[in-house]
Amino acid sequence: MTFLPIFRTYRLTLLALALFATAARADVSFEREVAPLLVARCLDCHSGEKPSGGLDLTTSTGLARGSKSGEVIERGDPASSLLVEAVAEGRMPPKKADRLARSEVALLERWVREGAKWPGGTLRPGSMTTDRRAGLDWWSLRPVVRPAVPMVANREQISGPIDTFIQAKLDAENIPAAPAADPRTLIRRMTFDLHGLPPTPVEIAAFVDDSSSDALERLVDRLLASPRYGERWARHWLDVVRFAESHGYEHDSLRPNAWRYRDYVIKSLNADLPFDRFTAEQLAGDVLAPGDLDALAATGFLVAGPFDEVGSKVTSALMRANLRQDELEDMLGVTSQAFLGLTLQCARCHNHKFDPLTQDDYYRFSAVLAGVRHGGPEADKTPAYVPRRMAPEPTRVLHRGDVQSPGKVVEPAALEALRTAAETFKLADSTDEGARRLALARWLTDARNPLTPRVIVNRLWQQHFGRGIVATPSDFGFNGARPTHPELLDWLAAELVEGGWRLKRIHRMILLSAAYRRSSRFDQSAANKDAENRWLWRASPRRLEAEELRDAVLAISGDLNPAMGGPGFALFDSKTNAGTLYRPVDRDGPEFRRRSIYRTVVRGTEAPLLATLDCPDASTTTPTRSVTTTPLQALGLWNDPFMHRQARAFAVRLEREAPDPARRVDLAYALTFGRLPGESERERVVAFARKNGWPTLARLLFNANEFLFID
Amino acid sequence: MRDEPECRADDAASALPRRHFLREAAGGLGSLALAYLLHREASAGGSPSLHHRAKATRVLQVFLTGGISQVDSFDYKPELVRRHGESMPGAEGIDTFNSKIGRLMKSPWTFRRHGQCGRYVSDLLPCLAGFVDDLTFIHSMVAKSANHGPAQLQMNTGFIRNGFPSMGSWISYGLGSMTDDLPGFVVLPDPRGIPAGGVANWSSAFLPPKHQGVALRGQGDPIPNLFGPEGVKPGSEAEARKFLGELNREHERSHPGFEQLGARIANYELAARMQMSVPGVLDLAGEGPATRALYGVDDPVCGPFARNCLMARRLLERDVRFVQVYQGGSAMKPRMNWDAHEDVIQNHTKEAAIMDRPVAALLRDMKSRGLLDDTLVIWTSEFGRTPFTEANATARGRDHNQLGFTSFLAGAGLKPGTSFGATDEFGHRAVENPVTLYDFHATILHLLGLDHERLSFYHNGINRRLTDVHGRVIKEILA
Repeated sequence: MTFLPIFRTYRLTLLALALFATAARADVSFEREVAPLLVARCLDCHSGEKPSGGLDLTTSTGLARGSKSGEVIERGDPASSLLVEAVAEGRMPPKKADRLARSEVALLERWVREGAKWPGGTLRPGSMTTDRRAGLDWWSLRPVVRPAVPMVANREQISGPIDTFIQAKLDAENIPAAPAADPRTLIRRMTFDLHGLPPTPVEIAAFVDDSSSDALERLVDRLLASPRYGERWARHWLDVVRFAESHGYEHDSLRPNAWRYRDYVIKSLNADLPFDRFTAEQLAGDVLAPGDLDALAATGFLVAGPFDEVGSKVTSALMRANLRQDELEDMLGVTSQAFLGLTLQCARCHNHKFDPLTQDDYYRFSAVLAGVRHGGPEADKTPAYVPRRMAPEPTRVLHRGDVQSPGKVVEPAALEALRTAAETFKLADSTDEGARRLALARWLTDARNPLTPRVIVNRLWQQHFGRGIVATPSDFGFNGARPTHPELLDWLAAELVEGGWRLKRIHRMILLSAAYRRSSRFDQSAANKDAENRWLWRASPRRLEAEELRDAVLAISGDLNPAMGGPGFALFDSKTNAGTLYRPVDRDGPEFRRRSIYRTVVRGTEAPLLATLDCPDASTTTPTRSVTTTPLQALGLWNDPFMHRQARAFAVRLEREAPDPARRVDLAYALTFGRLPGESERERVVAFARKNGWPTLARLLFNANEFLFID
Repeated sequence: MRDEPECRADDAASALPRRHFLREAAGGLGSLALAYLLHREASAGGSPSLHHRAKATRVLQVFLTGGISQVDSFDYKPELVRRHGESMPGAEGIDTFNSKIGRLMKSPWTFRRHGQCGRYVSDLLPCLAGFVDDLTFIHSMVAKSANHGPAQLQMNTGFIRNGFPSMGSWISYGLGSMTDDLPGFVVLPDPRGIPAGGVANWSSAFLPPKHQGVALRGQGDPIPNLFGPEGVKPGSEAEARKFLGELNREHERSHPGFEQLGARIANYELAARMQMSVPGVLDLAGEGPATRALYGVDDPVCGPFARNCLMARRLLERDVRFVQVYQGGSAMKPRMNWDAHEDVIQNHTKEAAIMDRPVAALLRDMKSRGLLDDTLVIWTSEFGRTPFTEANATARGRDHNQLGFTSFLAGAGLKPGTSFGATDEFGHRAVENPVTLYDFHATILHLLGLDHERLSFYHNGINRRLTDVHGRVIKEILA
C-alpha cells in the first residue's frame, strides 16, 4: 500500500491525539461502542455474499481473514493496521460525507490497540439504531408493552387514562390546557368528525338542553351507531389505499365493479368489524371465506392502485418483466405502509437506507404476493375488481432491482425485523398462492405484532386531533416522526388488541377524553411554547375536507340523497376508443346529490371543485391530506354551478321553513354555523338578503370561514 | 433533389414590429416584486429559495406527444440513406415495442444545412429550420420506457409510474409564484384533446395542490369556475363579496392566532383579480395582424394550436412561471399525435403542418420581445422513433424508440447553435454522451437556480426529488 507522505503525517498526528485523549480510560466496549460503529458505517458494504474489497466485517473470522489486499488489523498495533489507516485517512467510508469523526477513528484505534476483542457473534447490517438509521431495536419494532398510567397531581381535566398521559406532558412542559368547549361547538366538531356532516338544529338544541350526566356518552354512541360514520371514515382509509376506479396510465380504463371494495370498507366500519379481521380480509378474504362476496371484494385492496394495461401486453418481455416488478412494488408498498407503517418499497434495489429492512425482506414479501396481479380477461366477469390469481413463479432477489440481474431464490416469509416480536412465518416455495396471503394476513394481525395496532390507533388519533401521535402515519421508521406520546400510543394499541380489535371502542375512549373536548381557544403564551399544539393544550381548528364540504352543502340545502352503496355517480364524461379519456362535467339529479364517498373516482380527471379543496390524486397513497388556500378554491366555492344550485335550493328551503325573514336568518345560521346570529348581525343579514336575494345570501354563507372551519 | 420548402410565416416575420418585453419598461420594479414574492412564498409555504444564481426565471415547454421521429427531423444520418432497405444490424438483440423489426428506412424528407451554424434539418420542418442558430440540441436523449403513458410520465415527473409531481409543480414549489393574478403553472392541452394519462401529467402528486398545473380549457371558462353561471348580476356579486369579507373579518377577530382565516380572505381578493386578468390574457384581439399571421392563428390547419402558442407567450409575459403547451393528444384512432406506426410520411406531414410554424413563430416572437433572455424553452417528445420500419402490412411506419432521440432547449443560459451527444450511425441508440431524463431535469432545474439534489419533499419515507437519486447537470451545453 502506497500513500503520500502528507497523509502519513496527518494519520500519525491523529493517532497521537487519539492516544493522548484516551490514555486513562478503561477498555472500549465492543458491544456498546465498536459494534454499533461497524454496523452503522461499514456493514452496508462489508457484508453479504460479496463484501466490498473481500472484507467481511460481520464476524471476527471475517475481520481476521482481511481483505483482498491482505490483513486489515494488527492486534495491538493500530499504526500497522490497514483498517485504522483507511478510516484515519478518510479513504473509508468512500463517500466524503460519510467519513468518520475523529472520535470514531480514535475509538477504532483504541480497540485495535487493546487487541480487537470480538465477544459475541455475527453483526447484522443495519441491526442497531444509530444517529443515521434505525436498527432492530427501533422504537416501533419493539413489542407493545401496556404502560402504567402516570400519576398526575392536576386532575381538573382528567376524564380517563388518555388524559392522564396527556396531562403528564402538559405539566412537564408547563402549559395550561384550554377549558372545555361549549356544547354547541362540541356537537358540531363531533358530528363533522364522525359523520362528515353538520348537526341539525334539532340535534344541537337537544344536546345543549340535555343536562343529564350521560348526555355526552349518548351523543357519542348515537353518532358511532349511525351508518353515516362508515361513510365518513371509509374516506380516510380509501385515501391510504389510493383507491380509484380506473387503471390510470395511458388507457385509464374504467373498473366498473371496483365500487364493491368501497362498499366493503363502509360496511365493515359500520359493523365495527374487528380490525384484525378487516386487515386479513383485504389480503386474503377469498381464502378466509370462499364464496363470500364481501370477503372477496375486500381483496380489491391489493389492486386498488394504478395498472399499466398497455405495458402488460407489449411485445418486449423485458418491459413486461419490469412492469410486473413495478406492480408488485405498488402492492407491497401500500400493504407495508397501510398496515405496518413501514416503507418496505424503499428496499427494492438495495437494503433500506434508514430502516432495518433488507432487500431479502423485500423479495420475501414480494413472494407472498407473487400469485396476484391486476386485470386479465376474467376481471370483467367477476362481480368485483379483485386480483387475478395465478400459480406463483419462484421469486428471486434482483440485484439493484434489475430484472436482468436475478440472484438467489427466496421463499415467502415475514419481515426479519419483527421476528422476535411477532409469530413469524416462512413458507416453502411450493406453497399455494392463497396460503401465502393467508400467512401474511395472520402474521400482520398476530396479537404480538407491534406495528399493526400502533399504526391503526395512530390513524384514528390523527383524524380526531388533526395530527397523529406519530405525525407521519404511514412511516414509523427512521425518517418518520417520533411519537409525541409514546406511552399513550402503546396504551391505545394494547387496549385495541385486548378489546378484540374493535375500532369503535377506541373512538369512544378518545371522544370522551377531556383532551378531545377542549376549546380551541388561542393562548399566546401556550402558543409560544407549542405553536403546533403537539401537547394538545387546545383543540386544533380545522378546515372541512373536500367531501365533507360538498356533503354539508347538500345536507344544509336539504337536497342530500342518503341512498347508500352500489355503483357510483360520475362527474365526468368519458370517451373510449383505444383508451378512455375523461372530462369533468357538472351534473344534477338525485343520483348526483348522494354523498361524495359514492362519487366514481378515476385517475385521468378530477372534480374541479373538490380538487381545489385538496381532494388527493388517487394515484398515490395519501396518509395525510394537504390543507391549502388558493384563489382557485375561492373561485370554485363562489362560482361552481353546484354551489349556485345548492344555494338556490337552500334559499327555497329557508323560505319554506321560515316565512319570517328574521327567523329565516336564524335558521340559516343554525344550519350553516350551528349558532344563532346576534341582534345587529341578524338585521344586517336580513337587509342584505332583501336587497340581493336569499340565494345570494345562501351562497355567501357557504363561503364563510365560519362554515368552512370547525373550532 | 426536391425543391426546398418554404416556411409560410417568413413574410409575416419581416413585418413583425420589434418591441421590448413589457417588464423592462418597469425598470427595477419587476425584480423588487420578485424578491417580495419569493420571500413571501418562503415564509408562508416553506418552499425553498434559490440555491444559486438563476439564468432563467420562467419555462416554456412544448411537448409533442406520441414521439416525433428524430431521423426525420433533426438527427441526420447519411448511413441510413445508404443502407435503406437493408436489415438492421443486430436486430435479434433489439427489444421493440409494437411490432417485429422491418427494414432500415431512410427519411422520406431531404436534409439541408441551415443557419450560421450549418446544422442539418429535414424539409419536414421548414420554419424551425430558420431558427436553428438560437437552439441547443441534445441528440442523445434516453428514456426508460418505450410506452407512451410511462414515458410521458417520466418526461413530466421523472418517474415512469403514476403518483409523482410534475416538473412544473416542482418548479412552482421551488421558486414560488411571480404573479398574484395567474396560476404559477399553466397547461395548454392540444385543442384536439388531452394527452393519455390526463391530469397525472401535470399533477402536483404529494406536493401541495396549489402547485398543480392548471389546464386552460378551450371551451367555457378557460379556468374552471372563473366565472359564475350565466345570469349572475355583477353588481350583486361585488356587494356579496364585500359582505362576505365583513363577516369573515368579524369571525377572524374572534379567532386570533389562526393564519388560514386571513389567507382565505385574501384569496377571495386574489380570485377577483384573476377574474379581471385571465380573460385579458386569453383575448387575442389585441394582437396585431402581423403577429397573427406569423403564428398562423387564422390558418385552418395550424390555427387552433397557433392560438395556444400565442397564448403561451402572453402567459409568460404576465409572469406565469411554467407554461406547458401540448401538441398532440392521446393515442386514439385516428391518430392525433406523432405516433407514426402505420405511415410516417402521412402522419408526420400532418403533425408537422400543425406544429412547425406556430412553434417557430413563438420562438421568434419571444426573441424579438426579449423574452428569451430569461425564459428557458424546452421542446421534446416522450421518446423518438426507430430508424427501421415496423414489420406490419404497410411497412411505412416507425416504432417507439426510447434508446436515442432528440430534444432542443433554447433561451437563457445556453450555448445557442450547438448540439450535444449523438446516436449511432442509424440514429437508433445514443452512443455519445447519453442524456438521461434525470440529467435533462437536473439541467433544467440548474438553469432556474435550483440544485436538483436539494429540491426535495418528504413523502412515503424518503425525501423525494424530481431526479430520484440520479442526475448530472449537463455543463457542456451551458453558456
